[in-house]
Amino acid sequence: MDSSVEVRALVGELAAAVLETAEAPRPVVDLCWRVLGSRLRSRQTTIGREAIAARLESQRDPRQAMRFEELLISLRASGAVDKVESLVAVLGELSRLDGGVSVGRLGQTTVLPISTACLASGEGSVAGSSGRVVAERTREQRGEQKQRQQQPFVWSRDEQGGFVFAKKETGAPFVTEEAKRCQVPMSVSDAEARLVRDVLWCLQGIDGKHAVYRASDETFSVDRGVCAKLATLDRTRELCELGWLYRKVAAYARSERNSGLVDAALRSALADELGEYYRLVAVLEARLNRRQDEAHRLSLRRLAVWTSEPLERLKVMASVADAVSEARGGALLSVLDARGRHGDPKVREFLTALAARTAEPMFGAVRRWLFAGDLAPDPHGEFFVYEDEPPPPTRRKKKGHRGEEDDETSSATFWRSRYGLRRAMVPSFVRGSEAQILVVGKALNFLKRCCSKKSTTPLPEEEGDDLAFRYGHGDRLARLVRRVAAATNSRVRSALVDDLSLVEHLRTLKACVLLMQGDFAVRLVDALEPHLVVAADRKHLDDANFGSRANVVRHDVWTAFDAAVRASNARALKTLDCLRVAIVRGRDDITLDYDPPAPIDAVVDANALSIYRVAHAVFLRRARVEAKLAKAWRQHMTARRAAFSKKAAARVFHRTALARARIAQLVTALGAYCCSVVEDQWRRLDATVASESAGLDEIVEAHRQYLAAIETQALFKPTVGGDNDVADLLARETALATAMTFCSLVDALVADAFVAEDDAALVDRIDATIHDFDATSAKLRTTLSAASDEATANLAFRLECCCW
Amino acid sequence: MRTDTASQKCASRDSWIFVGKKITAEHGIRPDGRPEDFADGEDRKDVFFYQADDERFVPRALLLDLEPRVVNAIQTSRHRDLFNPENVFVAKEGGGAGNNWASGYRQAEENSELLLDMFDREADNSDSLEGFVLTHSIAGGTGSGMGSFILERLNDHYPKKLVQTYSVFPNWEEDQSDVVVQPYNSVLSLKRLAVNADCVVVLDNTALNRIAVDRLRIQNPSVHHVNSLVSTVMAASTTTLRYPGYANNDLVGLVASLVPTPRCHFLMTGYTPLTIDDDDDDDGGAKAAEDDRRRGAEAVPRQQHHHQQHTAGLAVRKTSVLDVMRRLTQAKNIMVSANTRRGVYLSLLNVIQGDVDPTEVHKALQRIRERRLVSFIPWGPASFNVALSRKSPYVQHKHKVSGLLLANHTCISQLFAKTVTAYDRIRKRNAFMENYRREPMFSDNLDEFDDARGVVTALRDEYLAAETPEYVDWGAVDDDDGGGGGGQHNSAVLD
Repeated sequence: MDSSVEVRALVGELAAAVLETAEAPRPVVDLCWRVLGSRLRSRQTTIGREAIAARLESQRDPRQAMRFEELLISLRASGAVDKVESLVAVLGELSRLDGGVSVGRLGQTTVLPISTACLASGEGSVAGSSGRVVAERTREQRGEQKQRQQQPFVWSRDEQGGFVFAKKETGAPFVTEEAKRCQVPMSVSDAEARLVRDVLWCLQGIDGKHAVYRASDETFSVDRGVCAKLATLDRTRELCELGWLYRKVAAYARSERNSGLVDAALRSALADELGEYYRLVAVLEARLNRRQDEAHRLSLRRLAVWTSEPLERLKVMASVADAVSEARGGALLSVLDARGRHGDPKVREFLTALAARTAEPMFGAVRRWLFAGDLAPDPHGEFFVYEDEPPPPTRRKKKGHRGEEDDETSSATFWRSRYGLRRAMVPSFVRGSEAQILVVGKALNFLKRCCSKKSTTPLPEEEGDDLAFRYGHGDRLARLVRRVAAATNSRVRSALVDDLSLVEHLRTLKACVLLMQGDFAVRLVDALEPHLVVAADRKHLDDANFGSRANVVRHDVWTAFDAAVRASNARALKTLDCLRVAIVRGRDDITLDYDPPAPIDAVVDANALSIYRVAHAVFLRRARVEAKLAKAWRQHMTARRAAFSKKAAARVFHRTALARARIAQLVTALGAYCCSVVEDQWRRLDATVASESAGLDEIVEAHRQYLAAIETQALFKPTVGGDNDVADLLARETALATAMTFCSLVDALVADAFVAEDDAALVDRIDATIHDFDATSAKLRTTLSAASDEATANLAFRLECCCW
Repeated sequence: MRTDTASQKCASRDSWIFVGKKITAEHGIRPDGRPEDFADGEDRKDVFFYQADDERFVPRALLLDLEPRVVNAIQTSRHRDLFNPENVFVAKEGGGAGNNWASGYRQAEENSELLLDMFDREADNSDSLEGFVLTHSIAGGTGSGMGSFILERLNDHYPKKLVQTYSVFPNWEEDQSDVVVQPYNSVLSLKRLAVNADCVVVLDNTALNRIAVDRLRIQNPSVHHVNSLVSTVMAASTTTLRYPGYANNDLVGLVASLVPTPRCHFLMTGYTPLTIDDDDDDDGGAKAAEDDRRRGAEAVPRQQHHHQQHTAGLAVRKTSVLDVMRRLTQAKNIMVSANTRRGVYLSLLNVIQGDVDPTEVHKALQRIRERRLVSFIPWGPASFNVALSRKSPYVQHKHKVSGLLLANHTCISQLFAKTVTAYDRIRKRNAFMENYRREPMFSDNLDEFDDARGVVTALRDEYLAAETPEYVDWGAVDDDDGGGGGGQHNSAVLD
């Protein structure tokens, strides 16, 4: 940017020197700038630096040669070397101008731009005439160099802010004889020849003599004075549209805006297309300069024929340039793709080719992502997949305190939120496959980082694969993506299931944490019962500062758990290492925790673990009640052999036996129902995990649904606005609590029976408890029968099985 | 509370060896006790077996008999290496009990120290003993007499352990054809079963023969056929223990759900689809029937690990949960010679084996309820439980799903009534009493007979009472009938 400013300043300086004014008017500088920046190689550009130097030398004008060198060096230093050819030419001319030698020999074409710059200076309607005057003045100046000192005209600003070359004293515009001649209508053919020349300028986006670009309304306006025939003027104007279009496209193609690879690809493609256009203009110019007879002279009509095809093309290009001006990356491609659905096969073909070139960076990125899981640096956010780098790990986490905060580094987080989709950046021709594409790369990265596997998927070749990454073969790409996705998904699945034994983990969770392994549950409750009692006792003791016994309990509990595992079929489970016994502080509860190892926690995430924890607590409580009821049954069976002193005692026993059966029925039915829910859900989960086509997403989702179903159906998690469920939960809780109380009362009763004592108070309490239970269970039944959802209906049915 | 269960047997012909064979096959254990190479699954062999130092699985079983014939047959069979020879008891006299309950009881008492030693040894061998399973018949001398003695002793010795029996009830249809004194023996045994056992699985010979004839289309069912049925039922009723699932995986849990009140603990069984285990796969029907009686006694040693099941006269049919559960409600599949149309269920457990979708169970339950295929007690919640169990992975099964019924039904009282009627018929005349009077228990008086009869009638009455809603107040209403809390105890009856 700096260099261009410098060069601009330099050009301004040069122009000022040429015009011998203190400061060159801005239009002049602008024009020089445009000429210098023009890609059009005019004849003069072929004049080499050596040629000019030689010519200067031959004229034995060391001053000129020196000045030329000077200018050249300073231009070079400013970095504008790529345009050195044209610069050299211009400088050559300028240095010669400066010397005031043989001005007349200067090619008109070179000077003309400078002169027309003056034309552009006028911005209003007066610009036409005043500009022309200025131009004439410049031309005249060439002939009357010597008179310049006495020149009574100076550059001054007119009312519109333009520059006027006017008399110093009067401010009247400078009008030469020639200019006056100009105002006289020219002959038609002469005018047309001039207009053809002008049009050729216009085609390059440069103002002609009569056709001038007006920035205010973005059109080329043709000086009406040049030709009387309106048709000619109209045709000129029509031809000038090409120039207008060219300006648009060129502006886009050359724009300095930096908005990414796709944009750059499009600009480069457009620039290449413009190359064709330049060639055409060059040919036309060559034709014009070849002085031909009347029959072959380049006329406006001929020009129209010549340019009809490029006009179409430029129109399309200009519309594209317009449309994509705000877009970038995938969105840009979508725009291009949408335009490509054109009815005209020619346009379609052209746009397809354009889009194909533009889409190359995108396809490259897709390919890398799809096969290697690599994301190229994407500062402009062009690709539709982005990576969300996690913040650098902080050391604030405490070891052994796993939980929600630890989740940041877990595989679950990696899988869930490390990579994302930019919806807006999905090109329309990829749409539909973007989710799969995201999953594939994500899976590759997951394999690489979480499972330590190599991250390429060998894929059997299939016909048409090579076409998949070309524009216009969306179906091929979709097919390839499907295949790659299937292959990658099955790799992830097999890594998790076969290598990391995901199913074993889930099975252990089901068997031990959800206590679906019945014999384990029985033994666990058996082994833990004393500690649970201790924990409950400690609750009271804690008031007397006996809290320090916690560690001892932890150790004992661990031993008890271990014994339960060894004594049950749970020992056959392969992932027992992940099970931990934890004492929930504050609640004096003993719970089983699960510690899933690294990649498994993508499925069994923190959220899942918390559900498991809740479920475990609920199921364990029921298992305890069941164990107590079984114990009570045992006591009944034993006690019946004891001789009762009184028949009253026998009656109490009969009553309690019946009540025990009732309670046991409720608890068993509840258990059977929960078991059927879990097992039913497990079958679904197992089927999903076992199916070859399941990817990690499917597995995670299946596991989530599995837990959600357990939560709502087996744990009766209250749904939104579901009072019934809460009531139900409460009823169940009280039912279980009553059952517990009942069991301990049976203990006492049997103990009494063996020592042959009668305790009326105890009998009363038992009767009260039985009554409580019956009331609760009746309430539970009514609540359930009132409920409408399937889960409670099923449970209601189960409970009804008890009372046919 | 662990499910280590010491099993023992008192000469119930040879059903034990069939159970033994079936269970060993189901656990993938070879006849010599070594595990098959593939037998490393999710089953619990340690319920009925323990491992010797050489990795062999040894059943926790005692073989007790007063005559050597059956035990000898086992010791010459291909399972001869399976049992611990120390666990075999044969009375020195070897003369048997002569179909005399009192003789069996006396002989057992004479050898009580030896017997209890064997029990203690096996019990100590178990990590955590949960209970005992006794297999015997109640009509003969050894099973009933010796079994009764053992029941009483087990109660004294292991008051907190569960005692479950598989008791073969005699065939009342061939009235007194086999053993004329079987009503005496039955009544005397039933008293012990009522008082000393926690759970009695009734294996009704009448019904087993009927099923063999009607269901399996065997013209003259042999002991072999009947024992095959028995072994099927016994093996199935323990699957939940041996292949632990969610529920019913310990003996107490299993029995507790079936026995709501302490005395009503007589369970009937049913099984479908029925097949007969056949060791000789090339045996045709008729030849098999001829050979069966002999082979039943002297099982030929064979080197065949997998059991072939052959369906006698029945084609393999499609099985589903509903189908199996519905069949289990039909009287023809229930192995009890009582009219199940009369009376009600106190509790009902279906053990469904096979790969079953839990939702199917739910649907089947609904269907059975809609059709009102079973009726339950009026006085409280009766349970209809379904336990799902895996099938043994080591045995080939022809049917996808099979089901066992264990039910507590009041119709069982008909069996008691029949027994009492038969007993009264001969007791009236004091027929065949000489043999009993010769034994010490009856040398002074025959009170024990009356006492036992009282217990059996009380039991019958309680079952009948359970059909009425007034059962809730059962203990309160009757005072003298031996019912209620004291009724089950002999002293109470004698009052």
